[in-house]
Amino acid sequence: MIAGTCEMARERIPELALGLLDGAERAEVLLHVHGCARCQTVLDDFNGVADLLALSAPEAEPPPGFDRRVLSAMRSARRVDRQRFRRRALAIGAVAAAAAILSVAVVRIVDAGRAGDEASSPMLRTAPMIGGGGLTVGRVVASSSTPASVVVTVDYALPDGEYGLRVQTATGSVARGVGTITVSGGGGTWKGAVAIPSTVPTVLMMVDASGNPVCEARLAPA
Amino acid sequence: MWSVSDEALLAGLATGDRAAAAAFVARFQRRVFGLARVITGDERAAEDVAQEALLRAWRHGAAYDPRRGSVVTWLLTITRNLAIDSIRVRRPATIDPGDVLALPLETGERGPSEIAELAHELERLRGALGVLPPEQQRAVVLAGVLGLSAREVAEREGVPLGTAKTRIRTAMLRLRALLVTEERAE
Repeated sequence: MIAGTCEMARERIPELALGLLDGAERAEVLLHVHGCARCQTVLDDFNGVADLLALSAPEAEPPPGFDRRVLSAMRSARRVDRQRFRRRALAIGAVAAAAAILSVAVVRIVDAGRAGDEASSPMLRTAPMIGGGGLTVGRVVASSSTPASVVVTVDYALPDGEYGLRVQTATGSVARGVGTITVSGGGGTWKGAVAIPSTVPTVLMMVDASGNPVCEARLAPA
Repeated sequence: MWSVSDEALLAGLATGDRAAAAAFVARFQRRVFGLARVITGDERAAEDVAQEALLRAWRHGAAYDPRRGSVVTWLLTITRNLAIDSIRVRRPATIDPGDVLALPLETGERGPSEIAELAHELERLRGALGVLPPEQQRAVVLAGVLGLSAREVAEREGVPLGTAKTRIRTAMLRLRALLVTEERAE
């Protein structure tokens, strides 16, 4: 069943394409468009117009050294992030070590300051995060460069709240918690120093407070 | 690296890949800085806005959703929001929508074919905008290029919110009819 009517969606699609709708209105239109091929075509048309308007924004050469300053700011921010990850990884690692006595470890949390188990060449894998009804609610990006990391992003159709993140490999029988993602205003992002094995299929899932999966991403072996 | 798509570059940026970050900044810095400068009207403020926009893209790259538009649209939306926040703090915006579209195209790092294609597309857009009544033209440029909300367009134009929304929507409908129909006929 398609959510909402074509009339409702068509009325709002021009504003959706321009980014003028608030979260609730945007979600309502997107839910309809997801199940309506004709309205999806209309949205694609208006996105094309909006893209062209955006491209007409004037360009200008930034002051000399601007790119170096931006990249330097990214490196500084990354160092701060790594220090945070290291503290979190050590804390989570202590819990994981205790849990490992009781169950089979599935995923090893890697200290962000050290190399992981993966090959030394950077490698990137991505998979959509699929929720109920087959809706794509976000995306997972896993990098096996040093330090190995995972980015989880959701921005669609999930109620606000905290969700646990669990990783399970095809060879492991137990899903291991790796963190908590907060969804606020319909979206949320989580980044962590987690090494995802590159040789076996791996599922990263979000679970609600009761531990029930609400969406999952399936990362294929490299 | 330059042949990598915008989406792949953004994915690399989100995972902290240094080469991807350098290529991403090189590819988009002129667009980001240019838009920030036209909205803020101040070189220094534009630099601050542009730097913050690229940092946010780096931090939140994984949040990009291709269903809602291209990478450049997403990035320019971040830039617009930051620039508008900046001028709200400092002073009212003094942007002339007509001036925005009249500015010349910077060539940047683009190749000749890309410049020609973009120039052609922008020429089509300007032609289509020229068909619209001036009030619709201003409304859609303020919303679509400079990122003002319908309420801000209404305040700026001195018209009721409903009128601003109608102008934006009608302009978009006409632009779609003119640009997409023409494109499909080519």
